Amino acid sequence: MTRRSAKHATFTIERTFAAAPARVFAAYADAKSKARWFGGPDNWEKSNLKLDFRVGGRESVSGGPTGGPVHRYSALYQDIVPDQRIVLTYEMYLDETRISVSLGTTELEPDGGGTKLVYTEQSVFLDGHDDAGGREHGTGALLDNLAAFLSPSAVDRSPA
Amino acid sequence: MMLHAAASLDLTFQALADPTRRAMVERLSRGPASVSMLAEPLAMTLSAVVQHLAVLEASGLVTSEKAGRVRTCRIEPRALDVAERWISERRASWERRFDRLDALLAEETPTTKPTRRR
Repeated sequence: MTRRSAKHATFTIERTFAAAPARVFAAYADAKSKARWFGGPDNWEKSNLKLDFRVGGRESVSGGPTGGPVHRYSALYQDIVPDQRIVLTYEMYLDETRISVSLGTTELEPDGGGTKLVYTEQSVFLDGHDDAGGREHGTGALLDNLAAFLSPSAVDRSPA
Repeated sequence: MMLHAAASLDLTFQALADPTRRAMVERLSRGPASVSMLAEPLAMTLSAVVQHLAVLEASGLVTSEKAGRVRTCRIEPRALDVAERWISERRASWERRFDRLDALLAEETPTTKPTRRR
């Protein structure tokens, strides 16, 4: 029997891109462009990204490691201000199990000739399902992800 | 709750930002070890190792207890609970997406027609 739980979390990522807000916005609004950066890891098997970029429109993509569980993303666009803001809600499924529901807010503002992007995600994580699927001790994967997150070269510096 | 999770995650990230401490956590993820066992593969003094250990303990990633003259360290699995792992993974996956977006934007120059490389 599933033990029910609901855990809340939020995080914010800030990035600066060397492109004007209109171009960053276009990379979100155009399905072909978005498919090129949005999907899962390069070695995952992926479905085509479907995108209906308008308020009330939906977006979906699924993928996963070969032979592993299918991660499915399903989003609904809530608010779109061209070149400035995109708000959506999305659900993540692991095979048929809904593992999280999130509110994602992307804010764009001009920064010199480029764009400052702030992405804030507020989520509820349901029933403690691990989206890495069946991982017994996540330490190794956490460290891999942290290393990737902190800096690509950090991996090479860590003692064997 | 949300703030607590974020603060605790900050400490976790901070603790793991150092390659020595990552090596210590990796060692402990294979099983408990004494301080001297932890220090053995590391090219540093025992007191430096003890300082790193203190950071790991403050983050809640590692706990230790003294029995007689031996301090035994172990990983604290609750610190790596599934929710925090999930947040780290979600965050890391967004960071990778933004890396790809950055590359895509660099590839398409605004003044010329977009060209596909390779």
